[in-house]
Amino acid sequence: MHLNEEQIQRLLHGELPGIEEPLIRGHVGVCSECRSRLEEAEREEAWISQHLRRLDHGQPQVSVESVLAHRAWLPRWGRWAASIILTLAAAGAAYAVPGSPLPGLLDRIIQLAHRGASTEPHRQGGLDLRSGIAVEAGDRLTIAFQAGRGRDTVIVSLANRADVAVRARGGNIAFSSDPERLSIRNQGASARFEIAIPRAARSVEIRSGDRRIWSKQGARIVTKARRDSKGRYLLPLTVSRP
Amino acid sequence: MSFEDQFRNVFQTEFPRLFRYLDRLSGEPDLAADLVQEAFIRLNRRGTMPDRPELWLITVALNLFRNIKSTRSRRRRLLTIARAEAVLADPVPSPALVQDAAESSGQVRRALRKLGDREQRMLLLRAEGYSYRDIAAALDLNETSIGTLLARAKRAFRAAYEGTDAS
Repeated sequence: MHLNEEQIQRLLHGELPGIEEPLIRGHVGVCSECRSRLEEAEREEAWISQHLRRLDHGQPQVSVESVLAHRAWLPRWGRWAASIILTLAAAGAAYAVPGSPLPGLLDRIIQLAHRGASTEPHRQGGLDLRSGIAVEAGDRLTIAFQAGRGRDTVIVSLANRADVAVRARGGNIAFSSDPERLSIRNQGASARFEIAIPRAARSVEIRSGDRRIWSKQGARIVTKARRDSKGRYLLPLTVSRP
Repeated sequence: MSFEDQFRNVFQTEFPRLFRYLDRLSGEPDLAADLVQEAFIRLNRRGTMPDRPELWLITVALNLFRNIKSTRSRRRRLLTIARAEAVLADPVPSPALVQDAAESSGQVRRALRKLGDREQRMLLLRAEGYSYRDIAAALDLNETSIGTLLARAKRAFRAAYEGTDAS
């Protein structure tokens, strides 16, 4: 009587019930056929383990504090994302309407907030309060920076990821997007934007007002911007309020 | 031990393997990071530790993954704060290295995708050391036949990989 497949796998994985284990180990000790099957199962396990490791990416550096402090976003994420984007777009529209009191009101709020406050990005519970958005690159994507009031900088890097990620530190940033365009407006003080573009993205361009300042067509990058030691492109934004 | 202490312990032990499992399953590290974070956020909001937190987490994460996979309407999403640094600090590897790694992982992924959903998940859960009991509960299977099903899944994966290799 030889071991069945279930018993071989359970022996391999330490999943045998306590009373069966010594009996089965005893059998393997005296049965060359079952021992040979166990050894083959061990080799197969090692082979699979080694191949599955090729799928691994680096683990993200997520601290337990950030998870403890952070609110959930995935439940009904689509509705949340849509409502936030619509709210931002509506706020942007209200801000841009000629004669709107919003710009003046915002100025006063910003001045009040800055009085006695640090110029560092606002922190809460040890976390930077930053804004960000991720969008799929699709066949073509334009990232358009619209007229702002501060001196913003943009750092662009290529990354092994599936979507375009834009993260802003500082400023008061409004994002709005449609399938081929992501518009970004900074309504506050100077901000620093970090943009990660997928290496596999086919066509992505970054515009500052009506000027194209960076583009990627397949593997070809076109820009006048300089690169830092990490290979990132540093783009100063020179859009001024009309 | 307070809930927060328990949570920290579970986070430390479960985050890496839950991330690796979802990363391997989805092929999208960003999505995997979001799903794992969300599962932990839900555990935190629950306020009490389940009897088997590893099973609770994998079940929640798999449900989230199923929802995302089934809707596939994901066009844009707000970035979570916590993973920003890792995303933007992505180093620039050499083109040759990128190509080799992509070819190698592509072959494994193609083989994995030739398996059924259940076989894929079972193989990947076992690779992360989940117990037969947890695998059975997470995938709604009979625990007494997990070993046999695993053996079949492994054979199928190897055959699919070697078939891919030969083509």
